[in-house]
Amino acid sequence: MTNELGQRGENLFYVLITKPYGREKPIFRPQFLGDKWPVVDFIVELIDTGSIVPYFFVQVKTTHSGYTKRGNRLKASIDGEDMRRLALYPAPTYIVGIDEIKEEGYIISANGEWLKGMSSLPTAFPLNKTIQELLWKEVKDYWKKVRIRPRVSYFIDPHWR
Amino acid sequence: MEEKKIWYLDERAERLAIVYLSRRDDLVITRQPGSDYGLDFLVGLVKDGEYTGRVFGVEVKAKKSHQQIQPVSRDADEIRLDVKNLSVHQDIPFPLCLFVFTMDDDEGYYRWIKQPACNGAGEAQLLFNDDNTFKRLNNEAIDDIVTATSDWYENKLQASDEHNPRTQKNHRPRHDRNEKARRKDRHAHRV
Repeated sequence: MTNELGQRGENLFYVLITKPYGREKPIFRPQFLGDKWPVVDFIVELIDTGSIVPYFFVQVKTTHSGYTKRGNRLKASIDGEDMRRLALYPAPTYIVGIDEIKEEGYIISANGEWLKGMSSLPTAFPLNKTIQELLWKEVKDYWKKVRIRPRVSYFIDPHWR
Repeated sequence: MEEKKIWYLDERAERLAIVYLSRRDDLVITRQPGSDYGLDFLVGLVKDGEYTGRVFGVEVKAKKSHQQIQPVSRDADEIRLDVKNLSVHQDIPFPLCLFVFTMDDDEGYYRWIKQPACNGAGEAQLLFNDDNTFKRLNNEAIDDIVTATSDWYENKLQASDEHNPRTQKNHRPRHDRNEKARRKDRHAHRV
């Protein structure tokens, strides 16, 4: 994948995930982690979730090669090493395949359900209004179930009141 | 709430500008640091796989809704948009466009701020434009912007050749000369 193609895909992902669909504002706030960051491309925070700020990680795979005849899968591949490294993150992780010609994106979970590489990505979950809402709920529910206990750090300021 | 204070508008509009411009594979799009200089992107033109050094600038603005646009007339392709807080440095020495994106439908509109033109004597000019009449931004419009920019540089180059005694003897009308010869002349300037 060329740098230009990758950058176009990253910008398309940003535009798709922040599309407001008639809402007052987007329900996700993505931050690009930079070209040098390994494995994941974006950290994405959920907006308006109350007392915690849930987030997830995304790796973006961009292609202009279109779709497979069988199964209508996006011709973007991910290797097994990346799949295994994505699964190591203790947070929801996803792969988003971007069709740079149609300017559409498809999301698939990468939480360790599948640790081998994939030569193409499924298109069952296009990044549209419905999928945005399902994703928001899924990530929010994940963080709700994680028990976040208050902890005492070694690095405290005793004068801070 | 003022639009400029809504967190996603500016960032999303700039990402949309990259998406629109990167549909062509012969543009080098460079984001400019800072946000209040009246110039968000420098866009370089590539020809035959080589960077030409020819650039145009793009300033990007966002609107929340397409309902904020007003058609100039019922069937006109032109629309009016109220764009405030546009600070442009008069000294920017290259063509400069203003892109506006509406967030509810991801449509883009553009107008020139510094429009490349040619006067009666064939000299390249930049005309300052503050009329908020916009055209729809699509692939054709981007082609037009690139062509107008490229032609403007050609005119500048030709005028520069005509006034340079070192290249004057070699000067022929533009259509008689090939790109290789022009490159040779340009190299001579540097030496």
